[in-house]
Amino acid sequence: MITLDALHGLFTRRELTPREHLDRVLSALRDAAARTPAHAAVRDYNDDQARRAADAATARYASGQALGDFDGIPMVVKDEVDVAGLPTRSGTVYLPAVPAARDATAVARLRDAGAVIVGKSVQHELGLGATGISPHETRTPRNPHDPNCAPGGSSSGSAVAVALGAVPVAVASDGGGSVRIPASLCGVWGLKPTFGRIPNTGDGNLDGSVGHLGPIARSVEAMEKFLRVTAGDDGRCPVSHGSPPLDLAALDNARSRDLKGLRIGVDPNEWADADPTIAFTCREALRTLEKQGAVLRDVSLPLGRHAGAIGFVTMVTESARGHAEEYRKHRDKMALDVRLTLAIGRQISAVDHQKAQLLRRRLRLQLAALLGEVDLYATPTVAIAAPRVRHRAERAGEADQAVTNDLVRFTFLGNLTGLPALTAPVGVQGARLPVGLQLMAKPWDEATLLAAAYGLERAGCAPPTPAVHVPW
Amino acid sequence: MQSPPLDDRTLRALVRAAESPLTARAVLHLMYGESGITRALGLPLEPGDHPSLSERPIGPEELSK
Repeated sequence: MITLDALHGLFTRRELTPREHLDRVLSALRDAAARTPAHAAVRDYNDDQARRAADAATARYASGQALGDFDGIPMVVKDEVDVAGLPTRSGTVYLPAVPAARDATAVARLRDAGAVIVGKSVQHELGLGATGISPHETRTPRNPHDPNCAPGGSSSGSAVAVALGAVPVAVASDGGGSVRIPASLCGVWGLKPTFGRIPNTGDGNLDGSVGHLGPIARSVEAMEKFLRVTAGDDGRCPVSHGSPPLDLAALDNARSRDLKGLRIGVDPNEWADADPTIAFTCREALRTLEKQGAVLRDVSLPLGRHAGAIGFVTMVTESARGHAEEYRKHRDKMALDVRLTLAIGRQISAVDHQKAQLLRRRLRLQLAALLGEVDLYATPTVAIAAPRVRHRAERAGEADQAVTNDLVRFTFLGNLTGLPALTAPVGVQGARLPVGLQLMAKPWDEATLLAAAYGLERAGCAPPTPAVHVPW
Repeated sequence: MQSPPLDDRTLRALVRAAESPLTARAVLHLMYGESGITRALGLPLEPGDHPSLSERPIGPEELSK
């Protein structure tokens, strides 16, 4: 399975050209989509645009003028994120197939760095679901580790494309766990940076208080480099306005940072809510950091168990407001689970919304106090392994609140507080379904998160090879 | 743990009920119960619970716009 670093090395040594590689990627993604059941990660391809970009990168490598690590690297971009020349339909069947006029800021920055955008990846409709199950013609991109299982959502196609090994990194977004949940269920890395770190410009779904852009990747290095390229105020995104610059010295040091004395907090009451085999696997991963000098400490986050409920009220009311027009015009074409979520969001009272925000503030203060005692806070990323896709769910949509609760149980904490969080692929469960460990850090301190992730990588944590993958 | 599947007819009925003024509150409370929202919103407020976003006066940055 090829990583960003390995691919860049092949291009640099001229053992492979970006154009040769792109042609293989396009074939591999289409082959995976043709399987039954399908692992269709990409909704809209733009072969011509991608081939032109790959040809330009090939010429730069040939003349010794490559732009850097991302030059010629193929990527997919979540449907809701604008890519010039491709439609932005956010996983729906009713938003018009009109090509976006310009790239989202993050996409433009990646393209400026030489990235080759292969296409738009499938997602849960309007980002309003954690399973990635879709009744629409895009179908559910099945989990490469078990085609009977869901990939997780909402950035389902981005995670599947990376897990298949077709691309080393993908653009995703996260309003309640939508980077981390599919990354965890598909056994790859995912990073949700601090709120405002990467401008949301060009992602119309991220206009509330919980939305973030971030990478899903095959390696820690790819996440780090994605962050370096995409971070920083663009003058057009209110939430990234005034964000501090990346601490480049800390990032430079992240890979080799000595973890001795790094304090990692664990709340045993929180962990008790996860499937015991998932909790065990995550604990074993933390022990590998302990062996490198990190110190595990028991901590307490009393409101943590309510993060999913507070997050649900917050995100669903923001989505009902943000998607009011789509709901009014197109609800008959929505998946039933999405339609139900928006209908409920419209009924939540202002009093309940405000109560949720008061509790959210208390939760933020509790977590801030906790991060005064430790450098990182650790939980499993999700409480269950990838759920099975029921045949019925692909006819109308899936509405299983118990599964949703188990998937967002730990991730919403990062959205409600804006703190940076990542998921690490730390092993597999009995049925060979991946397990993810979530780490959270202080605001703007992605460098410490990445340092711990490099530590996990040194200890052998890496994406497991799925049953279905691209044989490079 | 996956719960027993809702059949299409039940899911459609739930959507219809959520969109009807007469039954929407009942569906909301059902969802509140299933999602743990009833429990969360039932927590008593504490003296330190205070709105965080609009409590500060307008700052120089807003005035300069």
